[in-house]
Amino acid sequence: MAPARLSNGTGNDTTLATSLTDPTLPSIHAPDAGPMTAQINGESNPLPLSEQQGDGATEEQKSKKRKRKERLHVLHQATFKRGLWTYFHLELITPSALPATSQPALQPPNSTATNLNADGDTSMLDSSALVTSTPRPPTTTITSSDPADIDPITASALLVRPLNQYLGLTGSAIPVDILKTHAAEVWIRIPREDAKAFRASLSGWIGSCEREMIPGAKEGVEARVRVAWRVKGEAEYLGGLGMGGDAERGGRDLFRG
Amino acid sequence: MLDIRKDDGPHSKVFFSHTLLPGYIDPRNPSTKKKPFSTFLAQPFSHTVDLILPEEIYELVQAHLEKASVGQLHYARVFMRLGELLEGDFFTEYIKKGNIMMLSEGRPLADNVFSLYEGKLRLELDRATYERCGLVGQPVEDGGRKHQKARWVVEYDLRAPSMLHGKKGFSRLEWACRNVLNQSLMWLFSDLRSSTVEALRKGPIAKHHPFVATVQPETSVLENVASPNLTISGLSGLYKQEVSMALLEWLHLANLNSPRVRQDNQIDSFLSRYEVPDFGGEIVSQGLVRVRWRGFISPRFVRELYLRARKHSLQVEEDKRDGEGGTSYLEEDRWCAITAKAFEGYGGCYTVMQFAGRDTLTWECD
Repeated sequence: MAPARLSNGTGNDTTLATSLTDPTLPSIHAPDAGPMTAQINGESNPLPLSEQQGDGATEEQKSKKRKRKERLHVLHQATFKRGLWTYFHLELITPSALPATSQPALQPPNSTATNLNADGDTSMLDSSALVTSTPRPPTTTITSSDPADIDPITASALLVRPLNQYLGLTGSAIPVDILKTHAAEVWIRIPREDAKAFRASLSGWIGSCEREMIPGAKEGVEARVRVAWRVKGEAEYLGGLGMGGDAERGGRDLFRG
Repeated sequence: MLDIRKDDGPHSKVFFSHTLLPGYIDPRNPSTKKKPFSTFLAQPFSHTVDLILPEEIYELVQAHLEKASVGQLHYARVFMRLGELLEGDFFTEYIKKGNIMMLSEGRPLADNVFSLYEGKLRLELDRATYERCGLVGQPVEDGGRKHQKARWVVEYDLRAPSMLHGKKGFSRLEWACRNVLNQSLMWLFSDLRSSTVEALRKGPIAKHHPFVATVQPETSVLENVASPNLTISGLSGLYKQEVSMALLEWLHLANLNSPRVRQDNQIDSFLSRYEVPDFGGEIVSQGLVRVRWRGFISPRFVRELYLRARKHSLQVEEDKRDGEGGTSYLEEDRWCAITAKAFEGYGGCYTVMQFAGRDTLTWECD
């Protein structure tokens, strides 16, 4: 799908050397100013000293060292400002009775903890023995169709309703790409310009849905439950959104152990 | 079109670079100014690190990652007051003579949070606490109203010679810690000098009864991932924003284990219109392995992980070496990628994709 809007940020041919770590580094496309440029760039000057002084220097002073073509450390550097997409990590919650489970069931308990007693006695789970006895370390092969996941069609339907309610027909036309579903969590991608409107429409929306469609809400009497969306993470890059657990709370679960 | 608010305010930026590693990297003393090492150092407190690589490359480095010294992460959780950092043995052993990093609990723009890295103590306080402390600080942006300075940051370089008991500046800090910031908080502690459990058990921190956590890596195998066929010769075609961000998006989707990057993805285009980018080449199916660490992660840990992974899995063969430590084989397509996410308020995330040879792609997202 070719996006209609091409971002005219700084990722085009005219590169912008933001030089965030090395302020002395000039732009890659600076005109070649001869030996001085090579010196400014911080590379060892490949030209021997006699050539720097000009062509009038004596020929016999030319170095016998092998001249290597040094490539610069930074080949290209750019800042991307207005991306195409915004990514959301949402969780479907049922405000009425049961919390939807958000812990992935397939994660093996791999983090061991040694508890220090007063007399220095440690009780450590010996998972190193586990590792050496099996040919491969404990791995999980995650399959993509876990029956306890929310169905993408249901997720899509439950996302269109708040958009429709808050933003009308144009709202329901926002293209939402569902990237992954896991239990009651959904990762989606929407165009960047619509992120604020999308978030505003999700907050404060409560809808209802059949009970069977929602993982974690199977018990209960009524056929329909009230559901709402909670935004667990929003960013213009997907990097930090999938890191599991309480990652979007900034790693605060590490403080609680 | 659907403008709920004006589009003012700082935008989130991604800094992308394509760099060449130096020809020789001394493992005891690698560069700190060149990428990707400067990227690692720019994010001091990370809570998750992911290493993603193709399956056949993972097998080469697997044994090394299982070794306790490399693959395991140790950190401690202590319950102490800020004033206890400045007292006695803890101060001299860890702060003056050693190298530690600590992070206090709290939400960065809402509570009073403290952090210690490279000997620099940073106190982020709200206005009332700042005024009561009587210390000198700088206002910082908290995303609130303009001209209302609500968050202040006080920084002290505890390694400076003026930071000793008895000196005036230091005793002002001690007074503030005794009278204003005297609540006990949960801290995460990591000793950067030595990364063993013994050091955490026997050092001056032992008297605060820390809870020592040892983190083993968590490995997941992702099968049949549709991957673009990237070679070193094609890297110069990735400089445009859409192309580069498409590659980053694919890497992150693989990290997330999304079904959209699987070879057998058959979702209806009504639900998702994502397609794996091919960058002008073809799409191959390969297995990827993701190794994840969750804990209080220092830049040194990420750097060691990167150097090990590169050394063992991305070796350039003898006949393909050019004279500068890289590879002359332009169809080289072996790579590994490291993604690290920072604690909230202390950075964003970065992704470093290293190819066999010298080429490195770095995306720093804030």
